[in-house]
Amino acid sequence: MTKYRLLLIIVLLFPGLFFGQWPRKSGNGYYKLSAWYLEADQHYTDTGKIEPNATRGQFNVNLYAEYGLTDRWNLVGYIPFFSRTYQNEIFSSTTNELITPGESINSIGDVDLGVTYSIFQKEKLAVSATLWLGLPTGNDSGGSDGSYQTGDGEFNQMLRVAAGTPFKIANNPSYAKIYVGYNNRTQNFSDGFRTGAELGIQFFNRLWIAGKLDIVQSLQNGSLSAQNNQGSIFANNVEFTGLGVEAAYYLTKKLGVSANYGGALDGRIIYASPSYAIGVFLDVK
Amino acid sequence: MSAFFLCFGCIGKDYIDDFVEPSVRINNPITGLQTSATHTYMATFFNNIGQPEDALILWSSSNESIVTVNEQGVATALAEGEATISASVTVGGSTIVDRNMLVVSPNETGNNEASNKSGTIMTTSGYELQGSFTLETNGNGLLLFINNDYKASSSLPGLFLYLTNNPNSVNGALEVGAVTTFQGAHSYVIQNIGINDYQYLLYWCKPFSVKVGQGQIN
Repeated sequence: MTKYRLLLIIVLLFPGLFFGQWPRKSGNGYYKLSAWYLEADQHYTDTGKIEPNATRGQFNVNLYAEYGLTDRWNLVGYIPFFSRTYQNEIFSSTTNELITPGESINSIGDVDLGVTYSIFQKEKLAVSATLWLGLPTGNDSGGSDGSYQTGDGEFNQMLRVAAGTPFKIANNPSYAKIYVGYNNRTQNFSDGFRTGAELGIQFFNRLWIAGKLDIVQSLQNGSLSAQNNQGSIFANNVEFTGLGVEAAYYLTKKLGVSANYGGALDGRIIYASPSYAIGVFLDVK
Repeated sequence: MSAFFLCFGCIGKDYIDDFVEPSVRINNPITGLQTSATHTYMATFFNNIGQPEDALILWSSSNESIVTVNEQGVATALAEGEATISASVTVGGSTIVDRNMLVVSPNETGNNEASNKSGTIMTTSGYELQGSFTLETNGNGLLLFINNDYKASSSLPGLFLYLTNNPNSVNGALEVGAVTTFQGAHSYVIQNIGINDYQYLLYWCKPFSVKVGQGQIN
């Protein structure tokens, strides 16, 4: 799993769960157009230490969608139709001489498509399962040295089970949600276990604020490493504990805007810098 | 919205601290010289980023009754004994010097230029890297032996080995190649360089453009 891929997954997880503690009813949908950005000059190593790196950035514009085929079956998708990765120019602080030119690539990122099944849904509890298919539509070896990546080059399948419940905090509508997931990966990448929790609260009948915790653990069962994958920034076995917060404001009953901030509290083989996203969404009920 | 973020997605500028103390180096030191024989010294000045730079090199002998050296660096052995040849460069009001101590004897000395060197590889980062090495002349090039005590993290992407005179930068460094062995003894053949041309082994992560470790060549 590349670093970039990991960070895209963070983006994916947020809209996928956000305000969506229940699967969509038939004909309903949630569509969100987002721009996401991260720039980092340090990263977590394989032992969890923070080390510097040349400033690299990742930017994408993506569409996230949920659509209710039936009351039990939803289609879900995440399409980063424009993805950009770049590295800063590197200069000598002694002579101001350019040492390494900057570089960038633009392409589509890895597309994720999936289906959600509502296992159980009552007034106080909803349980659903989602199967995500990660398609290697991005570029896994771009740039002059192959390290500029907008995808990981592998087809993965992730099964996630989530349970959510609504309640009230100080008379404000709220919800809590937890999930566990297993990501089966190919091309000698290690599989991954995921879990997380989300807590959301609504204010003024228009503003949702939600906090989210994500934990990704590698099962360390893939053989991919720097020994056989020289080009990749981060070859395999990414792990992290991430925290994020998102605010979504409904301008109308259906249309709204959102802002997102997320980052890794600790990790292995991941950038040690936060990411940001802003978006507009359409919530068809 | 996209335009807003693209402002942040533009390529910016990073600056690395690549300063090193300027130095002068005698490229072909010897340990001995036969009486009446000559040896033409060569020296290189390295500036504050470790790059070779033209400079006026002044040659001198500590004992001209034993060895003399002229402005071109040609040393002539006159009598039996010991002497030190110095190459000096004055930069910014200060003088930097490299010295070569040699013994003059009536016996033939043959080619006594250094033919092997060694050193220890140490990590300068959070990634594991350790070991020792030897460097030997091999025709017009060198053989670099990394010894059995070597170990490097295989989690680091794009690890490359360089020879350099500035351990903080690959600017002007000689790329030996991608690191493909992460534990145990192995070797590299390096063509068309001398054993005194570089001062450091440098392990460098290309995608991150950062130093991972180094080994001074002694």
